[in-house]
Amino acid sequence: MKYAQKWKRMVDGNDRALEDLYLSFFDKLYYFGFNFTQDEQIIKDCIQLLFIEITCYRKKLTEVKYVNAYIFKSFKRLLVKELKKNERFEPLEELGNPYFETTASAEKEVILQEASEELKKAISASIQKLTPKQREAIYLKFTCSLSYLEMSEYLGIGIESARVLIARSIQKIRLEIQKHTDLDTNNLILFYLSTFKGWQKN
Amino acid sequence: MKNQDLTSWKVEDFILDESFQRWTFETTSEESDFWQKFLSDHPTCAPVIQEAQNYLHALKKTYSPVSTEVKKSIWRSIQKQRRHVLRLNIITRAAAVFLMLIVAGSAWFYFGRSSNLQNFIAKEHPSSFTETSIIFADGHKLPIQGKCGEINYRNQGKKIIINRHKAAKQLLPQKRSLNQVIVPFGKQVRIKLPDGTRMWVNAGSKVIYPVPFKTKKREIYLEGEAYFEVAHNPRAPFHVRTQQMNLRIIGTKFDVKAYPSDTVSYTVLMEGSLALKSSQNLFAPETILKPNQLAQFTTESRHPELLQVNVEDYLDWKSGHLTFKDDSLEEVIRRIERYYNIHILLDNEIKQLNITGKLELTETPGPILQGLAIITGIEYKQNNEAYELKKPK
Repeated sequence: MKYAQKWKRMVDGNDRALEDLYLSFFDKLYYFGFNFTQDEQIIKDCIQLLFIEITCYRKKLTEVKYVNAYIFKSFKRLLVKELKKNERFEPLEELGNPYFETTASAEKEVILQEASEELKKAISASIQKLTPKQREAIYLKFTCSLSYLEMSEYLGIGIESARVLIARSIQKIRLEIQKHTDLDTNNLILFYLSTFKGWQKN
Repeated sequence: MKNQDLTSWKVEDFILDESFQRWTFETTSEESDFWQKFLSDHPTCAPVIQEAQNYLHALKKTYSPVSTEVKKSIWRSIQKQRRHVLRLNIITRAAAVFLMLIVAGSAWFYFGRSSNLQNFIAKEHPSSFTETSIIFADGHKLPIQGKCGEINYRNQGKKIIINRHKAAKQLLPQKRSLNQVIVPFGKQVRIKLPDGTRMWVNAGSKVIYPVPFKTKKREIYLEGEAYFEVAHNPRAPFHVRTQQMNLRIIGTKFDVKAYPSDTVSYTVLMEGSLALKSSQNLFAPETILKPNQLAQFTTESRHPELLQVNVEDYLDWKSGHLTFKDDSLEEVIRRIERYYNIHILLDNEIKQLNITGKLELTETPGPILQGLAIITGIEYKQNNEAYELKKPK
């Protein structure tokens, strides 16, 4: 695993390794946090809290096998606790599912590389049709680069279930996109037919 | 993966393959050679691979990194708090002496600051207001219409919903800024703070608090009367300060009455637990209040006087009326006395009259006593501050 060595050195008391870990995870956690709240301060507070927790209990953290999973899981635990405390983790129904929605302000931060703008838009749109759990899984898998093993640890499910969860989500996204392309083709045919009819009338 | 026939793979299969993901995202992937070779051996697979890679790039969100400044400053606070924890671990007697010095030092600091705060508060007085108002740190005033207004903070205090329909935005240029709410006589206001704490503020009162609260300590300054339902958060203790009292709230429901013009101020605890002491005497021991207890301070006393009370009597103002069911007139009068802080002379013969119903609380006790007299057929007399109820002749 990518962070296993650094983690071990950190547990042994190496402060440099701890700082490295902090720097490698900061951005990931920061943007991950925006999927739950728009409150930047609370996200920063939770990152701080997480690393204070890690520093204070570092000697007890030898058991941690999957660093990626452990860090994301602990961060989410702190964040949810903090948001619940402030009653800002509002029930999903009430606010039309804010949970794991790509919100406008988070969207601004996104700079997409390489992939065509259109495919990106289509994928963003179809991600909205996924369940919150699927969205979270997709985000962790592709944006945060968690492995299936780490995801199974994070979600507390088997590795095969983690894989299936991602596979189903991808299937749904592909279907959604195909549906739209089909629709476009149908529209195109209708358009041809109508011009043809119009032409006949004349 | 390597045993399978990759040429029959569909786009999905590639997307889901972790080795393929690594090759797509990480330039130094060890698997790079393998995939490069596969691609050159099977050029017909190129479109499928291209599509799978497009998908992967579209699924991965890339962000502009947070500034190093921000990261450094948060890292520094992590280090600071950590050192603090380490120090506690190796605490010695010498350190205890050192702590005493810190306590003395912060006491001085506290006093210094508190007088500053009070200067700030003294600027505005409820009697000069006709409408309940929020005053922001920049001096901007926002009126809240109605006899019983509502203020609801959302989004860490950046958004304020007034009377359920009007929304206002508050710019918080610093991390937090002070909000002051002034309630003129004859009005009330209900406030829901960003942390979820609810507050009912009675007429002629002034409250001041930071929006949002600090993460480690929640503090409110009060002049007048307010009833609190504190949102539980053991990591951020809740404090209420008045001119005479310092309260440390462990939980949860209590009423504080501390009008600067009154010689007596008190705290009544409905539910939970709270600790209080005189704000004039910093080193006084704390008194722990239990439910149904009242702690009372006078301008002279530096120690609270504890009384056992019926808490309902102290919440009448909140609902705006008094409700009675088969209560004696003596009891009714006692509650009216309590509410208006007056003394009423009552004939012994009529003390046991039974009363059932609701009495709307008026601004002065006159109309309510008049009404009571008419309903029960007794005689009411008022001479300046002297109120009297008698059996009719």
